[in-house]
Amino acid sequence: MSAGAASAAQIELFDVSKSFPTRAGERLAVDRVTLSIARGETATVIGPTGCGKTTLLNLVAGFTPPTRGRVLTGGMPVTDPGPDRGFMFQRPTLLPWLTVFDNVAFPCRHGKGLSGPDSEGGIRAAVLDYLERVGLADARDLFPHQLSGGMQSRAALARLLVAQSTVLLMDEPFAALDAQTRLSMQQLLKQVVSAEDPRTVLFITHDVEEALLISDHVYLMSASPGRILRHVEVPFSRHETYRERVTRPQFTELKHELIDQLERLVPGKEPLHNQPRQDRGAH
Amino acid sequence: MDVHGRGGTASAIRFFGNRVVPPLSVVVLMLLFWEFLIPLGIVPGVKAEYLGTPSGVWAAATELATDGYGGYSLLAHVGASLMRTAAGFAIAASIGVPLGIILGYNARAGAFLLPVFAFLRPIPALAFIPIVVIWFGIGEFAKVFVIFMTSFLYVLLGSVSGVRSVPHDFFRLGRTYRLSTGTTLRRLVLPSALPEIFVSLRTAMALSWAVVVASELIAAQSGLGYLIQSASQVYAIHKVYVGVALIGLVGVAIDIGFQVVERRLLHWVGR
Repeated sequence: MSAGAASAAQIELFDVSKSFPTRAGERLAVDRVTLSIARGETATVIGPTGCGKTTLLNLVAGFTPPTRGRVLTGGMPVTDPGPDRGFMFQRPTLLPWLTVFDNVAFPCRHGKGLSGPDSEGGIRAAVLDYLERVGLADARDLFPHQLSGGMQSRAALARLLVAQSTVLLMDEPFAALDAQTRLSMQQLLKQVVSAEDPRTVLFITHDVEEALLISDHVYLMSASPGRILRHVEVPFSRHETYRERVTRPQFTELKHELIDQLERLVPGKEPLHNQPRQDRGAH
Repeated sequence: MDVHGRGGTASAIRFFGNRVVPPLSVVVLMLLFWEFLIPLGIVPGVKAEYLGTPSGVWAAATELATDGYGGYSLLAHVGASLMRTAAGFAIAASIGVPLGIILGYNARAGAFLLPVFAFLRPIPALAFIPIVVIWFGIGEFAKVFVIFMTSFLYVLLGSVSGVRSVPHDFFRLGRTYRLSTGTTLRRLVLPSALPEIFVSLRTAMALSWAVVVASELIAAQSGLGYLIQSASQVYAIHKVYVGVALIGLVGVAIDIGFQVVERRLLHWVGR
């Protein structure tokens, strides 16, 4: 706690590799990645499917240990999952037998070691507050099956935020939504993770525009082996609106540059990966 | 649902005309044929005295309802079968569900025990009856034990499979917020596996009800199985019919009861 709290970096990876045994031998999903995300910043990792970006997220979450290298959050080595690092899954992962309210309250009620509220009254107030922020105050007594996909994502976001995790790990949480809903979720995320409720976000996506819209830093990752090829510091103000940002010529330029670079990474177009194809099983 | 939901008398009449009258008229025709034409001996090879008549069934039903059978009232026979089923089923469920959840959750424990249960399950419970009679005699315990065996394996393996179908991300959610094992099992695994557990309970109950009657055919002084067996030995065909029909009715009633509980308890399923 002491040494790390003083440094500005909230998430740090030093020379981190992760390989998985497969029938065709070891598959190197993450290869010697070093990166650092400062407190309160949003960083996005983009890359082709199967490039190991989800593995990278799982390493920070503590779901799986690195094969080599060190993963630190808040200056402390990651050993296992914990409530200081909230996780938003690809699907909303709401519990279908609980109402929206009870789903959002779930971590606070049943989790251990949270820095969020722990009395039932405190939990209630906090849950209602976050439901308000994500625009679900009126839906609190509904069950997940009564919600649209976008509302389910909002509920999952409220659950993620209410537990007061300092780090938010988001694994393509909006990928399954339609374009319009995805856009509103991106804006909502920017709006709720703000100066008054700062969180350090590590966001995974394969959508370049999404990356440029929500983050301060973009990391481009290659597949097999998963390496960080490029680090882009997003040169726009955090406070500008969606319209302001997307209409900048620089935004469009950067977007197409990154898309072109991603295109070239897709296996088959250019043999960047020097490992046999059958290695690309689970990602 | 819709048919009643829209409410109008017209739709009620349509429902009655389309869904009730046609099958009912077939049944009525068959009953008339059975009552009046079979006794004339017009169907070769069918002996009317073995087949009985609908009016005979009605008479047997009223007699059984008022006088009972073999010294017990009809309700007592139904009750005896129900009690045996309930006892065997309740013991099986209260051991099978928790054990199944543990074996499904803990892969190592499952690896030890599940192959044994997988071997036992396809053996029909009736095959155990002779063994059970040798072990425990022909008392109540033997019958309850046969029902327990029938239900237990179904419920256990159903619970295991329910736990294994819990979405992987639920466990990751639990790990993120450091849920204890007990909380994980109670708050995540059990509710998530409950729909599948409930299907296995319902199947186990239906099987148990079938098996109780079978076990009573072999050795019992009460119960619907005993009634059927005993009546058939004196060619009281009408009473046998009544007994068989009662087995069906009670079976349907049990299943409807399960469905009602299921719909209230598992309100989110299938939505």
